[in-house]
Amino acid sequence: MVNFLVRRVLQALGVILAISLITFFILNIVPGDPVQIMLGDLATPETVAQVRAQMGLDKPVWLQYLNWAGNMLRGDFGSSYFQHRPVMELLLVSFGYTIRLASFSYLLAVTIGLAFGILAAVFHNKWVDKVLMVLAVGGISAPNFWVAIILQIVFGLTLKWFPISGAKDFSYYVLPAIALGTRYAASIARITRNSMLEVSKQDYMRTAEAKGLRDWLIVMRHAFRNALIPVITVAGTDLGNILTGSMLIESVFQISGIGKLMVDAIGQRDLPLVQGGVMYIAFICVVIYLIVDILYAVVDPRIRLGGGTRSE
Amino acid sequence: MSDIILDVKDLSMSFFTDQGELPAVNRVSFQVEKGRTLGIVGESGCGKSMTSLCVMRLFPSPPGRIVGGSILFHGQDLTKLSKKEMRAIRGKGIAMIFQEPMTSLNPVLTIGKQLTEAIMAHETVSKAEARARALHMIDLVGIPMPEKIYASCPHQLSGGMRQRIMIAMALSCKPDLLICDEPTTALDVTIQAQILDLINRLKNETGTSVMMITHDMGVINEMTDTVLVMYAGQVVEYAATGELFSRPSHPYTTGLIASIPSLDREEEELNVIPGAVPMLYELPEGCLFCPRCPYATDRCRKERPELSEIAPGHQVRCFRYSSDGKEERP
Repeated sequence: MVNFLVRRVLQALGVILAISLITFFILNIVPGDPVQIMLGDLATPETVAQVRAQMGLDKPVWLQYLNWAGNMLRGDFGSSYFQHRPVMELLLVSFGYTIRLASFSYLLAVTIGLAFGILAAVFHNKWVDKVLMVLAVGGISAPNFWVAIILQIVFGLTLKWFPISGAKDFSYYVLPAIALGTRYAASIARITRNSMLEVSKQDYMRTAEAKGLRDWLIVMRHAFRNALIPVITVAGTDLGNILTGSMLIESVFQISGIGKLMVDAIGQRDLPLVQGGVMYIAFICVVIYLIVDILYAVVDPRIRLGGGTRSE
Repeated sequence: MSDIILDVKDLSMSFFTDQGELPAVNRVSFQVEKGRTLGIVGESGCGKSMTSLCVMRLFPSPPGRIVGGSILFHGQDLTKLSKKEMRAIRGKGIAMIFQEPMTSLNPVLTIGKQLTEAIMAHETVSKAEARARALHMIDLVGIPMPEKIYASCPHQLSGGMRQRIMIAMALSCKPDLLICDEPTTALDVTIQAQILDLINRLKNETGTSVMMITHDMGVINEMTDTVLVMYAGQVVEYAATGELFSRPSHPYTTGLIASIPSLDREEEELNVIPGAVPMLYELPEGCLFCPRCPYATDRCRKERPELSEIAPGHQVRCFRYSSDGKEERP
């Protein structure tokens, strides 16, 4: 288990290093000169050159990378070209909004997804299953910005139950959380159902029944835990996606989270902010995958304890 | 007479599919006496496993459904019980062990958990008592270091050990009837003998009756008191084991016995019964065995024979012994 952890953490560090290299060099070769954009069309070539030197952009790219990476290790992502504030500070402020939205919608997605998936599997081929799976297909197919707009119209404008934009208190997060979570709830419900059905065909399920256990014990202890592995994979990836912000939902509901921050930064060629944002997203994803891998081991002793089957 | 603990009468179970009603178990009757072993033998697909799953009411349903007959367990008809009442019998009155020890235990739960939950499902005992009983059961089935095994997960045990655990689990609530569905098929020959010995020893110690499902006539010979030979969902011969081996009467039974390889005889090839068990949707019109039977006559191809008693307690389904007295033995 310790070996496994050490190996996985080292891998994660490698991935982060690789992503930092790739983002840095790609952003440096895409067209669009940030200095030119910042100073406008009227700036003289001399001014442009001077500003470029100030910002260290006249140095060779590899030296720029080393500077940037070195600063990053100390927690300094540089300053935004346009907002003139440290990138770290901007990211932290936006992250506050994103994490609130993400937690609400993820909680919703996992609860609804698991409950619907288990119910559909238990009532396989009955009407409950059919209704839930039609809902799930709808949830996966509906674009989330469309769901967002419908929710705004119905619950915001018509019924006036919830505010439709901004992020002042909990009530502001209800509609965005539903809009963002619907898709994930639907995909978790489908994978849970399929995984449960797969497990229900296994021999050990018949053994559990032959012991005379109560139905819910068979479903929750014997089926659900075995069915969890594919669910963890999907739910883990979903958590990564949700935590890295939703550009569409944050824009529709005017929540200044990471997604909105990144859209604005990309539009302005605000390189330090984009790089910082990408590194943040990479970091979140790597950490989530690490947690997912550890969870596998917690759920499945075959991974935790290692080793194959002992032969006769 | 209370010596008979399981009395199955005219049991029929069918699968209802797109191809119509497929009779998997066709008017099967047999009895299991206290402390005795009944063997059910036949090729794959003959309905022997389905018969045992009917007793546990664990056959796949839908599409399976019991369409007739009764299963009296201590005089109580299992076919009429509610789900809840049936649950109280499973594991407590009747326990079952399966063919595949490698996949019959839940891979994510410890052996201890799987043993204690069986005990706690039927008896009001504390966790500590259940644990003590589980450890005792592990010891009883001949596994050293019960404490270590208790905390292990199934993937850490060998196939033979897992089957021992299955037996321990099945016997942990002292059932009156133990159904063994090909318990040794998936195991090495040396382990097979150990597992059969173990079942026999525990049967004698606990007084449990056993239903032994197998396709191995050797196992039947060694383990059972009476035998039910099944073919395509029907009973074709039913007799005491000694009687069956000394006077096998149905051509299918003779075929099965002749197929046992022998060390004494000088044989180039193994004896086989030509052909295969018919699929349930293409059963022949007359006697179900007649396409493979060396003695088949025109009558066999048109009519289905009934079971007839050729000696006390020895029933055969064949026109050569039918009750109208026309023994047409060649």
